[in-house]
Amino acid sequence: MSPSVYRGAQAWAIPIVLLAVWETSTRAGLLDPRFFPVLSDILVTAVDQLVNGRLGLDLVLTLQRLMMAFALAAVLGVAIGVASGRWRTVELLIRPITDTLYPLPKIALLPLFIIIFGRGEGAYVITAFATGFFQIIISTRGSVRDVPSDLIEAGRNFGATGTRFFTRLLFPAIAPGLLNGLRLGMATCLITLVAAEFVGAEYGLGAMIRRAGQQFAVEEVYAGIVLAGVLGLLINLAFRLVTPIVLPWQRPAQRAAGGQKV
Amino acid sequence: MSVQAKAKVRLNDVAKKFPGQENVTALEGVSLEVAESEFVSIVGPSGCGKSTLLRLVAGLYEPSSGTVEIESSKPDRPKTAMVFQEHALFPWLSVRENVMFGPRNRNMPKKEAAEIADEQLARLGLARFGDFFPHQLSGGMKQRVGIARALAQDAEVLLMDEPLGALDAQTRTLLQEQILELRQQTKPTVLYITHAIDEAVFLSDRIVLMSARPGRIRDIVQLDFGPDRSPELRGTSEFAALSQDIWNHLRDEVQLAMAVDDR
Repeated sequence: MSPSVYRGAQAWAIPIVLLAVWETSTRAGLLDPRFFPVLSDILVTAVDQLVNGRLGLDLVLTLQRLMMAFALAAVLGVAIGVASGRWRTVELLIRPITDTLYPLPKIALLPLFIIIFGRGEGAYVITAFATGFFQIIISTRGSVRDVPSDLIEAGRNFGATGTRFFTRLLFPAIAPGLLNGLRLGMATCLITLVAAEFVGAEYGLGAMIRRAGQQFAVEEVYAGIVLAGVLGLLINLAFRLVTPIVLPWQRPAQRAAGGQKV
Repeated sequence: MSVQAKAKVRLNDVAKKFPGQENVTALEGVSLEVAESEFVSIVGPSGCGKSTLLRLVAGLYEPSSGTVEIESSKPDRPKTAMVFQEHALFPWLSVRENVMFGPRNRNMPKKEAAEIADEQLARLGLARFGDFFPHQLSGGMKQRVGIARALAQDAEVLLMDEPLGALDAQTRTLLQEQILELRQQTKPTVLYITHAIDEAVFLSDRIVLMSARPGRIRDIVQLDFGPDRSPELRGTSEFAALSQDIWNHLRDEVQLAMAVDDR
């Protein structure tokens, strides 16, 4: 087994064992099927609902809201995060706001947003955005602060001033922390979005789980949960794929001629 | 002081205070001239403001009072290029790109900048390592890349902030000899900060001794070994006597600084 296959097997070992245990124990009737349906039945239900039911629309709407909320949160969050990490005045101005609103569960704002924006897309997108936005501000600010001062001094001494300070020094320097912050920001957007849909929306993964729950359609509830989980997994996978492309210097020795350390 | 060469760096009654809770006065009444192609070391106890002094010359800090002037020989020539104690290489750039960083920021075409970078890397024995990333190099090699990056700037003044402070003794000795060689080849104007008295004696034309906080110039020692010294200088009795003499000067200040720290 090559090392990468071996590592892949390690990463998937526990999930695969758990899923196998679920499948066999439910089939054997060890667990109450009213609460724990057979795993393969859940998957069949999910596929059936995607193809024939409303689930396809639910999924597309959730994805669409997620993308809008995240894009907005990323652009504004990074801009404000960089500004407040870099300039003391900005930091002092926004600190009271971030300190107050960051810990506030954004789902609590949903009723307000529904009053303001109506029961359209706006309220759900804004609620999800608000979660990721503050998360991204805070992680970006932290990354900017963590740039070693001698690196900043070196950048300035070697002529990275004006806009070059940002393009050639600051953004490359914070890139690892920034990517990680965006990943977490997108995941928290998803959390709040599904919750917001659960509470108020007509369509969307959260709404679908609520509907199914009200009808005691346990397999559909699980299908919704599985899909939400898969979305979260895809977010992480996407960032894991992008990271080595954006941060090639973090890759081990491959790029170097000769390869070995001297 | 060398009268024949004109002053390249001129510090005039410079003071630097850092406002804040402690209101630290890092430097006070510092006046110093460094002549063209002169190698001046600054030695003093920890916290005597050596690094602050270097950053004032680099323009990274503004003096609280007094002036810092650097004579320009060409309008577009960078005034200073700095070598940092902890190398401060850009981890996202290859070794070559690190060295090209300064020239590229002056809008030099990529090809030309790469040629300059390769030339400087070769000078420091790093010709093979242009495509490596900094994290793939040893401490001594990173420090040499830092030196190559500064040399590629061809700045008016080379500022070196304890460049060998983080290295093991043998690497340090080797790099001292490499810096001496650079000195002889390119005759740069250098302000060099170090803790190591023997290093200062080995490399410098003059050694500036600083007092504990607030940093003042306590004494300046002129050395007459000339630029064409050899590594064997270290073994001479003259070298040992001078190092001892400077340590005698400095001992009180270091003790004072320690007493301040212990308070």
